[in-house]
Amino acid sequence: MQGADDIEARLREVSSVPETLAASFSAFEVIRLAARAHEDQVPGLFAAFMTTADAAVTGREALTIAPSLGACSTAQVSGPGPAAAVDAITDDLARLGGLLSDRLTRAAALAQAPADKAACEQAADAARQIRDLMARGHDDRHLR
Amino acid sequence: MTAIFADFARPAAEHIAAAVSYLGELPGDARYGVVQQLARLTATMARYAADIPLPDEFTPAGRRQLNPRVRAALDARLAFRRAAQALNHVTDLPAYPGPDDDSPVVRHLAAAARNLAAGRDLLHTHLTPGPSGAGAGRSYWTPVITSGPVTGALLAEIAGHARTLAPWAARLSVAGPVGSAVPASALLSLHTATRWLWIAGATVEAAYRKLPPPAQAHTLLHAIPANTPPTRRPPADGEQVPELCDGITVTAERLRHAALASADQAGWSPAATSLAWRRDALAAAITSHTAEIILRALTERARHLGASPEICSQLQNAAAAMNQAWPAWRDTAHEWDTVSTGTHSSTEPAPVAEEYADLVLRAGRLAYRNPHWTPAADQASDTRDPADLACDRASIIKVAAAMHTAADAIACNGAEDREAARAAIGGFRLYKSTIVLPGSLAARHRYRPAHQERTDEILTAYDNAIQASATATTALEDLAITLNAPTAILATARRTAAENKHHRTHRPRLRPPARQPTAIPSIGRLEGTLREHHINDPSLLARASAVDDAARELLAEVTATPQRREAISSPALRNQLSAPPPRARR
Repeated sequence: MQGADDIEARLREVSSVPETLAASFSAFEVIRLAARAHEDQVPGLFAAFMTTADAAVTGREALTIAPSLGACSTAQVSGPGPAAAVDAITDDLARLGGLLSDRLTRAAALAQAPADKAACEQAADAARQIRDLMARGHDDRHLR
Repeated sequence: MTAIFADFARPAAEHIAAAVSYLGELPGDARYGVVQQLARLTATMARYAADIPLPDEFTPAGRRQLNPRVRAALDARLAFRRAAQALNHVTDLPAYPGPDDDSPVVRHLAAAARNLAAGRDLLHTHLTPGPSGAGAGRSYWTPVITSGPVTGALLAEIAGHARTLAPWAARLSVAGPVGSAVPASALLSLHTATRWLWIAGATVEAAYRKLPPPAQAHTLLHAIPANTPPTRRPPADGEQVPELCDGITVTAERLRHAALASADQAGWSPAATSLAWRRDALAAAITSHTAEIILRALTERARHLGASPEICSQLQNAAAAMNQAWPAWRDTAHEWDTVSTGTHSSTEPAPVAEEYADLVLRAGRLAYRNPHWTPAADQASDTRDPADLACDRASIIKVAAAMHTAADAIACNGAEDREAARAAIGGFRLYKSTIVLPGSLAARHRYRPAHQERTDEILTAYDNAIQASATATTALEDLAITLNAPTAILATARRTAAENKHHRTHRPRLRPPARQPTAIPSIGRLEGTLREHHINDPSLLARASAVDDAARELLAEVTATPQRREAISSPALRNQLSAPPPRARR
């Protein structure tokens, strides 16, 4: 998925709260754009992608109020790339959601400012929701 | 289960019929009780008649222009009032305490009075403000209750009771054993009241003989529910198609109630935010999407079961309409991706979040094979087999009815959200994030006020979605009527309400003539009129004087507002207001 690898690599490298906030902000936007781009592709996953995009907006809006967000520049966010296999997209988004949740939970623990802490916690909740929405078992029940 | 008007109107009619079927001689004490219960019944009927929205009955000029049915309603209202006034003092007498307090006639009349009063209370739940003062007229049934056909049906029923009671009560008022416990004054009052009940009943009957209220109006009247939401029924594991349909119906009704309640609070509630509206649009999109899947399966099943071409065609139309609705709601949800009411610290749940969550789950579990379906990707499954969705014609009706209530609730809630969003736009409470364009630099600039172009796009998205959902609802209404589904009454109610609103919308409003001071009409003449007619009863004159005073106060109040507005908007005063203060002119 276009943009996911870059943002994932960046999330793995963050060490400070401002860096985490900036990378997470961009990650939520990557997730939103990807989910929006794929929501109509498979009717059985319409609800999953729509809800994922909604959670990404919630996470991004939660970070908007974090005072430390301005201290670090954010990355370029690309629009939706060429249509990829839906399986790959859901896997990428689930992985990214899990990583986001992990980094934001850590940042919440490190944050000094209560507003940073609250923003990280709320955004971590949204990231966990994304992970849970996109995580898929691999049985025959799923639609193709 | 929510009580409906029929739950009270039918027993009331049965008790009245049972009471008047007693033709024997009543013992003295029982007669006393009967007169008291008749007084209660008459007072309740008079209140019903007084509730009916009618033009001013004391305007002779307007009266001549009234159609016969409205004139009859005015006359009946007056007759009921007189009947109630005649028996007014009877209710003040000591309660019927006699040894015959188990008299079946008294019991029947008492039960009829109780049921009629409860039925009126039920109707008033749609008309009366709640304890906070909010909610007056905030019901989807209010325009139905105040519509011409339904008020006509109500008046016909009340007048029917009057016609049933009047001859029986008349006999009671003139016959009785010697030494009866009923005071002579009470019997005399009953005699007078009986005459007025005759008049009320006969007036309405005569007016409605040629053009009675449509049978549909009586059905609608009896189907009016109390304005209280049904108890929430959270989704449970393993719900089968019938339970899922029942759950959708209950949830949709709760959603309609919650939408109205939240609309009352939209101006101040911390929960009235873009987050709530975004989630509503999301849920509307998902529910409409699953509704299309369900309706397509129903179409296939109906064809397989050999349903009429009309039914198959209407199902297909409904599915096609739903195919337009969900993309419109999806687009509305997209609009909220980049516009917000700002950051929210409120922990209050969104007003209709619970209802919408239930609706999404149940609609999904009805559409898909997986009984544990959720929006999560790992719960995605194939769609349900049409034969499993609807095994027979009755199941098709049940599922279609559930989809009908869901579509209606989505359209209602969408309209309320649209109004709330419009209010937020008007209050400059919408902000736009600057990071949004695909391919743009995602630099963070918090929020800036949303431009009008952007807010117009939001409202346009809502208009499209509401219109699409309304079209789907109309298609499902047609289907409900053809199938004679339980929700056909919802279709009739909505159309009657729309008709009533249409009439009201097109009625020209009375306004004072432009640039003319509002004249205070001649008032305070009631006491003088009584004196001119040589009525010198001090209590009557005192009441007339009080009425005159109240009329003066009321007119002063209603004329003051337009006068102030007129005064402020007059060029002279406007100039005066905009001119600099005297000191500044120097």
